[in-house]
Amino acid sequence: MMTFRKFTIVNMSVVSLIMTLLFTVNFVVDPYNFNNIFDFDFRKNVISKSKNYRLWKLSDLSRKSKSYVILGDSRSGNLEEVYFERLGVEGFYNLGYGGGTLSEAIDSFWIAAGNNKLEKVIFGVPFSLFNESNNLNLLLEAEDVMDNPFKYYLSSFTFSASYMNVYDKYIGRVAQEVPPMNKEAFWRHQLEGVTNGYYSTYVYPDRSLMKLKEISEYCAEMGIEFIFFIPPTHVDLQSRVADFSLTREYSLYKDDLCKIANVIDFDYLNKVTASKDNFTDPYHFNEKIAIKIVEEIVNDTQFFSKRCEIKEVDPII
Amino acid sequence: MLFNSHIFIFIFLPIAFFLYFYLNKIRLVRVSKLWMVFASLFFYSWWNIYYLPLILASISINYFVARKMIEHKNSQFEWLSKTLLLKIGLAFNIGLLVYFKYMDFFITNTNELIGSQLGLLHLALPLAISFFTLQQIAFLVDSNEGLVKKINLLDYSIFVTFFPQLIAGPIVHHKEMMPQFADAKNKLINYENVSKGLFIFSIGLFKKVVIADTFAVWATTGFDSAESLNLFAAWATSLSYTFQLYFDFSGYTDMAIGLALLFNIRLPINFNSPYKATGMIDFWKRWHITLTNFITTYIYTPILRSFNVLTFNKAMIATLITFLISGLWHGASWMFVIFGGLNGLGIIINHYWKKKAKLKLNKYLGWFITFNYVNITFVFFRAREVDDALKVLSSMFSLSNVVLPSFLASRIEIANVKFGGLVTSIHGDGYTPIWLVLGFVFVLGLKNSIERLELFRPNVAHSIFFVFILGYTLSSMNNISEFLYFQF
Repeated sequence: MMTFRKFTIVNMSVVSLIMTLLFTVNFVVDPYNFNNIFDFDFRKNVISKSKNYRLWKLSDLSRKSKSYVILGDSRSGNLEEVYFERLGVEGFYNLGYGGGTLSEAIDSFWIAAGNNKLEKVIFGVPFSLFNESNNLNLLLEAEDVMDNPFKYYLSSFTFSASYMNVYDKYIGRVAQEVPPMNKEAFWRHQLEGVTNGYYSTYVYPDRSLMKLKEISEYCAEMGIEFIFFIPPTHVDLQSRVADFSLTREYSLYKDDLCKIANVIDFDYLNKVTASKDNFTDPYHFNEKIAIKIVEEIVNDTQFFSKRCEIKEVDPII
Repeated sequence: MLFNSHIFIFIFLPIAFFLYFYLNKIRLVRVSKLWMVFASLFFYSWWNIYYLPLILASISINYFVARKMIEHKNSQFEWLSKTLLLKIGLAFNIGLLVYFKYMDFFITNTNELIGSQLGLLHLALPLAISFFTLQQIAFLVDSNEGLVKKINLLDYSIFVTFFPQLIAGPIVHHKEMMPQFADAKNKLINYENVSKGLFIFSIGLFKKVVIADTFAVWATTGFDSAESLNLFAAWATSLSYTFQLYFDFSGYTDMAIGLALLFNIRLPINFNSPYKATGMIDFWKRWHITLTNFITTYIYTPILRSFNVLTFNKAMIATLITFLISGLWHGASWMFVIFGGLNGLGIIINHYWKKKAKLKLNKYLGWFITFNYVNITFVFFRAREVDDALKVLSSMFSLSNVVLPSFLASRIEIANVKFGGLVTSIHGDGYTPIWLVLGFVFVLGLKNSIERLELFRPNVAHSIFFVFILGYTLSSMNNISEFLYFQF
C-alpha cells in the first residue's frame, strides 16, 4: 500500500506522461497537416485521408483557395482532381466523402462558400443519398476538431492515424481496405443488404430539398454556377427502385432537382450502366467511367448523360 | 465550460486548484474565498457572459432578504414580518424562474386556451437557474425558521456559486456546505481527498465520454430523426436514452463530487444504483436523491401540513401534486408534466400495493416492472412532443413492424415480416445490442461509483484502473457533448 500523496503524484505523472507522448507524436507526425512543421514524406494523402475523409478534406481545403468544387458521397469522391487537371481545369477541389450523406454535402457547401471565392459547384446527388432517413452528419465532428487543437493533438484517433503513417513508412505498407469477398459476392451484398438499408426506410427529403434550394438561390445571387450531377448506377440497382415501390419518388427526385438547377444525369439505362464491367459494385463506377464523366462535365459533351435544364425556381417561403 | 472539455481539465482546473491552496497557504484566507467565487463566476460566464448579472442579482437579493430575516430583531426592517420577508424572497425567486423558464409556456397555453394572440418572449434560459434558485429558496425557508444563525456575503456567494455543483447539482444544503468552507483543516491540500477526488472524477468522465455519449447517438437519432422505428430499434432507442440519462447525469455528479473533494468539500450523493430499484418508491430514493430530498422537505411536507386532517388518500394527492411540480421543474413542457404525473402515479400504486395488497412481490418481478415503467416514463421525458413519444412507444409494443436481420432473408419467410438492418434507422450497428447488454451489466452487475469510492485504497490495482480510465477517456474526448441536465 502506498500513501495517498504518492498515489496522486505517481499516477498523475503517468497520465501526464501518456498525454505528453500522445501530444508529441501527434504534433510531430501531424497526420492531417495542422501545423506542417515537420516533413517526413508520409503518404498522408492516402493513409490519413482514408482514415477520415472529412477531416482530411476540411483541413486540406482550409489551406487552399479553390474556385471549383464537387460535393457528394463516394461517387463524387471518385471524380479525382487529376482528371479535371488533365482537362485544364484550375482551382478544382473534391469535397465528396466515402459514406457521405446529403446533410454533410450541404454543410460542406457552406464551409467551402465561407472560405473560398467559388465560381462553380457540382453537387453529386445519387438517389440513395437523396434520403431523409440517411441523415448522419460526421462533418460536425471534423469541424469540431478543426476548431479545437486540443481535440486534435490529444486524441487517440489522431494517434492511430499517426501510428498508421509511421507504420506505412518505416515498417510496411498499409494495405487499403478491400471488400472481404469476390466481386460477385460483394455485388450481391451491395445490391441486397446495403440497398435494403437505404430503400426500406426511404423518406423523401423535403427538408433537404429546401436547403438545396437555398444553396441554389445563394449561388444565383453570388454568380456561382451550380449544377447537379446524378452519377450512374448499374441497371441491377436501378431496377431495385421498383422492388421497394419507390418509382414515384425516383421520378419526383429528378423532377425536383431540375426545378432547382441544371442536372447532368447519368443514371438511366444506357450502354454504360448496362455493363458490369463499368462498375466495381452496383453503386460505384470504375476509373474508366469516372474519366468519361469528368470529360462530359468539363467539356459539356454528351457521351452517355442526359441533361435537364432548370425548369423553374420555386420561391422559398 | 464543461467538465469534459480540455480547457476545463488542462487549464481552468489546475489554475483554480493551485491558486486556491496557495492563497490559503500564505494565509490569505479571505482572498482564497474571493478567488473561489471569482473562478466559479468565470466558469459560469464561460457559456454566456450575459447570464452573469442575473446570477449576481439573484445572489445579492437573496442574501439581502435572508440577512434581514436572520437579523430580524435588530434590523431596520423589523416592521416587516419575517413571513412577509420570506414571501418577498420566494416571490422573487419563483418570479425569476417563471419569467425566464416558463413565460413562453404560459403564453403559448393561454393563446391556445382562449384564442389570444399574445407574442412570445423567446428568452434564452439562463444556465443553471433551476438549480441555484432551488438552493436559495431552501436557504430562505431555513433562515425564516431560524435554522441559519449567521451569514456573510462571501460565504453565501461560495455556497451558491461553488463551481463543482453550480450547474447541475447535486442540490446542496447550506448546513452541509457552510461548515466545510469554514473548517480550517480544509484549507490545506489533503492528498487523501485529492486522490479520491481524482479517482471518482475519472469514473464520472469515463461514464460521460465513453458510455453516455455512445448511447446518445442511438437515442438522439431514434427520438429526433428517425421517421419510423421497427420493434427492435424502438426498444434500442428507449433503452439507449435510459442508459444515456443515467450515465450522463450520474457521470456529471461523480465529476462534481470528485472536483469538490479536490477542495476538501464533500458533496452529497445523488445516485445509488437507481436501476437496481425493485419499486417506484425505492427508485426515487436512489435517483437524483438531492432533488427528492428537496421536494420532500420544501414541497411535499408543506402540502401535507396544509391539510387539516391528514389521511392516506390526502398524502397520495400530495404525492401526485409534488411530482407534477417536480416534472414541471425539469422544463416548460407538458412532456415533463406527463413524466412527473406518471412517476407520481407509479409511487401511489406502489404505496397502495404495500398498504392494501399485503402481498410481497418477488424482487425480480418487482425490478422488471419498475425498470420497464421507468424506461417508459423516460420516453416522455426525452421526447420533444407527444408524437415523438408515441412514435417510440407504439413501435415498442407493436408486432406489425417486426424486422429480422437481412442475413435471414434467404433462409426463412414469414408473412408481414420484413428483413433489413435492425438498428440502421437509429444509426446503430452490430455493436448496438452489445452495448445495450453492457448497459445492463454496468447498472445491475457492478458497484456504483460511491461504493467504489468507499473501497478505494491507494494500491497498485487502483493505480492501474485509474491510469487506464483517465488516460483512455482523456484521449477519447474528440466529441464534446453537453450534459443532459444542463438544460434544466
